[in-house]
Amino acid sequence: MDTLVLGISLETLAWLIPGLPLLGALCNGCATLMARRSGQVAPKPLITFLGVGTPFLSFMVTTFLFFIIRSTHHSIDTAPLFTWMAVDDFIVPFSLYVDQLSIVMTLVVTGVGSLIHLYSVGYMAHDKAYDRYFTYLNLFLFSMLILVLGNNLPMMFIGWEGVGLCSYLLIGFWFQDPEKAYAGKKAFVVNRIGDFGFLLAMFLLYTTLTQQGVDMRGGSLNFATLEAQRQLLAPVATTACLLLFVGACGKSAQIPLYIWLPDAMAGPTPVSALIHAATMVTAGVYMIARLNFLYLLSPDAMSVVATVGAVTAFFAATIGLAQNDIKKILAYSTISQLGYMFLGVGVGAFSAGIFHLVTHAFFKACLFLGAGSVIHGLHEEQDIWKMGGLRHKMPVTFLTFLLAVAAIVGIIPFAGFFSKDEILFQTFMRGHRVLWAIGFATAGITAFYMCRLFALTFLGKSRIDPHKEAPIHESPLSMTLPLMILGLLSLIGGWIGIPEVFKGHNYFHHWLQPVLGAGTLINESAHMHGTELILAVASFLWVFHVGLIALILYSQKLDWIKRCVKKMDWVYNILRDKYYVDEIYDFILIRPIHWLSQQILWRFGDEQIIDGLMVNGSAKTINLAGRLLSLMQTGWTQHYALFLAAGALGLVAYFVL
Amino acid sequence: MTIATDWNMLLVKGLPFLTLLGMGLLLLVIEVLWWGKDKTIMLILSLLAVAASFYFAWDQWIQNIPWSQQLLVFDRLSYIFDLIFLFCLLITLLISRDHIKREHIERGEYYALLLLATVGMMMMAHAGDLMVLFLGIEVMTIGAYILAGIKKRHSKSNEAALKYFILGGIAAGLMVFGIAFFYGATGSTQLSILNQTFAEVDSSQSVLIFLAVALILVGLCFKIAAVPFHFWSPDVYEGAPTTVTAFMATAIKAAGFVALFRVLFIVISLTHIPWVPLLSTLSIATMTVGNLVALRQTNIKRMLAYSSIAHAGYALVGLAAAAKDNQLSEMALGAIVFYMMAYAVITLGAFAIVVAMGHRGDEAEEISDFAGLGQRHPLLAAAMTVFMIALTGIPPTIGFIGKFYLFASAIEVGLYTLVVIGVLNSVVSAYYYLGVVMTMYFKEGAVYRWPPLAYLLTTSIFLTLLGTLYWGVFPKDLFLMAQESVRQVIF
Amino acid sequence: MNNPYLAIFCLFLFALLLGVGFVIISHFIGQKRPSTAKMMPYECGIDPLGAPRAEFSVKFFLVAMIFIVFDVEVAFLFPWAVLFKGFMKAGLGGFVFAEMMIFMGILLMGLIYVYGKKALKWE
Repeated sequence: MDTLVLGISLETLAWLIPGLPLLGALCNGCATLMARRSGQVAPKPLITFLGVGTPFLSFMVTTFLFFIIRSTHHSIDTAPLFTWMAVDDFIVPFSLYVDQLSIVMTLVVTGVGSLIHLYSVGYMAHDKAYDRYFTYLNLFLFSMLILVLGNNLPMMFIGWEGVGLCSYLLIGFWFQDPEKAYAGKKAFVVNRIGDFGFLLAMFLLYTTLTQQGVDMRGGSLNFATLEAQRQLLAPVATTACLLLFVGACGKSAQIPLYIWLPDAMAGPTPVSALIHAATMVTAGVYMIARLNFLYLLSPDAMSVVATVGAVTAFFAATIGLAQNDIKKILAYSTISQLGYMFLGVGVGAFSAGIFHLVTHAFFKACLFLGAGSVIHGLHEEQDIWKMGGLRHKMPVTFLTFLLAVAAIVGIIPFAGFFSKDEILFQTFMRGHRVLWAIGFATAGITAFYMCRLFALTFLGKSRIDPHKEAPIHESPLSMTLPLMILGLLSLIGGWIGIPEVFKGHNYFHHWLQPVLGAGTLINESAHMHGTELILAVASFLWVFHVGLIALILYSQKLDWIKRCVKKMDWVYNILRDKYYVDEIYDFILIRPIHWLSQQILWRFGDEQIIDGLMVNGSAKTINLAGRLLSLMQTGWTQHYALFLAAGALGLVAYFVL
Repeated sequence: MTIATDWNMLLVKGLPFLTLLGMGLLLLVIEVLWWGKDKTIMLILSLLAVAASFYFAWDQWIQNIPWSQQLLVFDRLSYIFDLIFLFCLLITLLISRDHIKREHIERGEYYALLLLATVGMMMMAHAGDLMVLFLGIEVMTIGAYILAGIKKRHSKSNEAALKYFILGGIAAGLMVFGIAFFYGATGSTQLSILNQTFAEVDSSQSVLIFLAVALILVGLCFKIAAVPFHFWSPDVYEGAPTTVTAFMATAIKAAGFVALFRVLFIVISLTHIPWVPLLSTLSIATMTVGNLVALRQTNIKRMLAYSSIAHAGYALVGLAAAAKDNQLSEMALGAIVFYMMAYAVITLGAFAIVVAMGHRGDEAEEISDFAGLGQRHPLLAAAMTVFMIALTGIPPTIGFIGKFYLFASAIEVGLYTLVVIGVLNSVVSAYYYLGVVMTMYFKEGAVYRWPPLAYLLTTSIFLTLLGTLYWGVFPKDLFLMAQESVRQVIF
Repeated sequence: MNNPYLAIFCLFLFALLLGVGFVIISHFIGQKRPSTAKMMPYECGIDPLGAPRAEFSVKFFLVAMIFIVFDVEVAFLFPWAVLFKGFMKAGLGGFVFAEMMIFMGILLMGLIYVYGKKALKWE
């Protein structure tokens, strides 16, 4: 593995991937701080150059490594840069692991990431904190790459926490608005609940291995170590997997921890595209795929994952039906699509889950960026009822958005069709008929709300406030270029995994075969082709028709829609208010906890017991004792002599008696 | 009685204190015969004597040939304490020059008395006979009486000297009384003979011996300022010149402990005395009273006086641990020796800074005088912070290591209650030590240009700071030295 | 009751009782007729003038203290002189002589100091 490329070892190249964004973050951070000290803003060209250049370079390095891995079929496990922790036999090396799975993720992260960085140049051009924005964004990329490339669980956890931090910073990027800052806080707190599960799982895995006396000198929680010792882990696999899945639920916004993601739309739209759609939120899926050997030990945990995924997919999709905020709809759509991915990995079709992750990154990033373009063009207008007819004013956005909608809805031959159907087919074939039915229904709902969104935004007549109408314009090239690329990818991105039934080679699954092993796909034997074809066509026809109806209704028959809504307003209200989940959480969790901490723990426990009785009380007692004792220090030699004599007498008495 | 003493041997072995003795006397003569007004020569000569003495003591420690000449004993324990005294003397001399100049007490007697008092301490460390022990104590204390009152025109200094003299006289009287009882009960004051007697004769019924032990303990507890024999120390420490206070707080305390060792080695075998409860009680009373009263002090010297009482209490924890099973355990004794070194280094540093704070006509002895030092003189404030942290017993300082060894030795023998009380006391002490730090950094103080510090003062602060931090991080060698010193003790 | 010291204890007790008893008895049975002359201090002498704390020269004390110190130390010479012959016979004469010379030398240094400090100078 010490192949040298232009005198640079592959390991160095691997380190460059996360290293470059880190460099960008550090330089931008320093520039920002220095500029702030003198009350200025860092020079924009410099920030742009560093902020966008480093991810692009990183992407190029990744591409290069990808081709090397493709030709050599070897993974790269770097030597530790340093040993992060070494306590007794708990050893955590800081090293990277680049294999077929992580290189795919890295390609997505750096590729989509670079495009979104580029997009941000246009989108954030007029923001006062342009420099701070790019610092955070670079830092996010670094953390995400550590998450993906780390060769052990603790390193993944650093990345996991790092992206959480950046997510918090970027959601609350405009922290002057209390609501946005609150959204950031909410995301952070909810994620902490998930992290708790992740940590417990790590502890559990470590203690199990220690108790078995496994030699873990290479690194206690390395994926390689865990995989090699997986038989020893079998007894705790279910617990560990469920705990890890708690972490995944937090990060990837699954029931019951999904509530932060819709609020996270408070951040700048490119951030929503990058972090809350394309990359960070898929970390949970990636983690499960990475630990597939562990999950395969526990069918129970797998079915929990699959069920939660399917239910989340359906649940979020229904909420999406009644939302009016363009970004909120996309957010619920993201939750729903993530549910699909979990369904995929949950039924054991890990590669299908990852495949959907990749295509989803393309079309969802495209959708978000398109939405951003619209919002940007309409001067921060996010209500789809105040849009309409934008196809003439923003042709590029319109076209790319169309491609992405086709992809998410699942029209042949767009990207989403192949990946989503893969998941549904695998679910069906592995005997999870109920889950398949839920997924199938969800696909229809998805088609409906996506087309509703599309129609209300771009088709029909303009409902835009006349004052705002005049200056609407297409976005600059820095924004439309990423849109075009992502739109193209939404179209062709799925072609890497065309199943054999469509005369494809299923290239993507073969690529992941070495990592995910037999757990990728049920072998597509010829007699399955019939079933697969039927399912695919059925699903296509289903989404196509639903989508078409939605398109027509929402572009032409708005009055009819309004009457319908009025008739069924209780259903509509429940959906619009997101099943009151936030309120329920507030009532059964937040308020009791708040009350407990305020009244019992703080007012009584902290103020009365700890502060009053223990801290101040003991201090007062000690002070009083000191005062009494210092009274004896009269300054009179006679008294001192008396005390001395008394002491001597006491000592003598003690001895003699 | 035969005179079988090897005089050459005695001369060589006794060189550490003979050097100081000779130089002390010489300084007195020079004081009256010297024509110049500049007393720098005195300081140089004193430092030379200290250096020579240090070399001799070090050499003897390394050679490690225990030898006893009935009246005086020469073993590693005595030499390590010689070294401690010499270190205290060295730092005291270094910080003295500027202080005594501005206090107008720069005289030959000052240097001579410091040297001679140190000779007395060394006699205590080398004592093989209770009479020699007493002589040593007297030589040391008489020097200390005069040094405490050397500011003749200063009423507080006079008061300190007089109080010290009267109370010290009482304590010394009681101690001689105790020695007399010993003589009455056993017919000897020689420690080795006492040891034999105790081994052969069942002396558990002898009231005389109990009386003797009790009275000697009173005298020694007075020297280490253990409660309830501590009342003199705050008044004396406050009134005496700061440099003398530094010397008293460190060297005299160490001397008291080595004397305590010498006596305890013998009397510890008296099984009918409940040593552990006795020493534990003394220890708890000493550290608790010291810390509690220190809380209320506003004068830094008084505060350090109470703190020194408290530290004697901590060291007594070690002694209680050592006294378990009626034989002094090596580990605990080593911990006490280490603690004495640690305490000396830190306290001397703190006093050096108190000296550095003062100016002509303004000795800056109040804690409030430290306000704003963080801005005025950041380096000095940082050094003071380190010393205060070390006195509290927080890593990475020698103070932490010292306390750690002490408490560890107590835990080893199961004195958990004592250790818990000790740790709680450390917590209390954090309040007033860190109070100084808070005053330096968070209180507004007078702003003025700081005059450059004298070289000798800077050197001493640097040395103590280095010791505090270096041995706080790498305590192994010093601790091994302390452990080695208590391994082969003779009488 | 066979302690030989018991008799001594009884003697002490008896002496104490006797002394205290006489004073108490006389206090109760004696007649008291105070008069002006009787109440005056020093019935037999003259009235005191000025404060009882008279000034005196501290030099007396200084000289007296120095005298005591040197006197006590020099007293060591007597036993030394008595035993010197014995030491000579044991062949230690030179050594013991040197030792005393050192002792005298130390005293001499003290004398020089005292002299140099003008402690012996009257006026």
